[in-house]
Amino acid sequence: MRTKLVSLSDAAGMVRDGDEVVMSSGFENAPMAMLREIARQGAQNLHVVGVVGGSINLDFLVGTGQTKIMDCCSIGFAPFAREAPNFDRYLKDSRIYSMDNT
Amino acid sequence: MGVPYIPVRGLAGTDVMERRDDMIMSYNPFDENDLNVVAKAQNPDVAILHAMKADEQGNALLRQFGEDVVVAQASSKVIITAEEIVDSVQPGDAGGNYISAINVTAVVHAPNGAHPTAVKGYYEMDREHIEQYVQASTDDESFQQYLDRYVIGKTEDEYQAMVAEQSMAAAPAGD
Repeated sequence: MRTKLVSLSDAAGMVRDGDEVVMSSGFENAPMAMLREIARQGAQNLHVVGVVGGSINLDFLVGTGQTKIMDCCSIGFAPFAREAPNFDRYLKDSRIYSMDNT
Repeated sequence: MGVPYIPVRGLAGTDVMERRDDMIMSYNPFDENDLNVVAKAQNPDVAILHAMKADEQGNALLRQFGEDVVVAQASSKVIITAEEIVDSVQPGDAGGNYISAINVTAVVHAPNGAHPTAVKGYYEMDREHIEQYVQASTDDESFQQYLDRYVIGKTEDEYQAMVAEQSMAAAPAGD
């Protein structure tokens, strides 16, 4: 049977500028290695969807400046911080557009 | 689910749809007096999910709870990163929620790939690293320093070597 095994780099290359990218995780099973590789490769203007919330996984691609739209119900950072730090900063500066998917 | 849209009664009366064009107010086609929010189906370009185990064909064991399988089924492309690549993952295997290869586009072996977050049965979250992340996120410059230190211009192997060294140094003597 055909193998679907690819390198981290090749998989991150599947994420293109403007893509809608969805995750379903928080402080458990966040796909951080893939997010770091997406940061290295630099896809821009991402529409990031959290189903339904998230934490550092959603916040990370905001901090790297790659997220244009954040689409989730909440980003929690307890017990480390009250707000997701990059998301909070970018939102207050109107550098991302936030949509509630509740 | 394969449906083109879905009514979401709980959102009626809120202003959620004012900020998005994929939710509108609409009447129930079977009851002209019943007004609801109707949400268009969301079909993301890419889903990214971190699994405990996967095989090369794309079958995988995802975390026990959550919406991972539905998220994958709704998305055009599905990337699974996994702690372990094993010979075969079957429905009913213990230790996670099964997703079929039918729903998976690509599989990546990414040991410790959820760091600094946790994977049940593999490792706990790295609290010290998350605290570093939070401190670095206070402004653009300090977060760029964090990225330069750990991510940009570094390979994932280099990242993993750095955080492994830090957690060794932080461990109490005799631990």
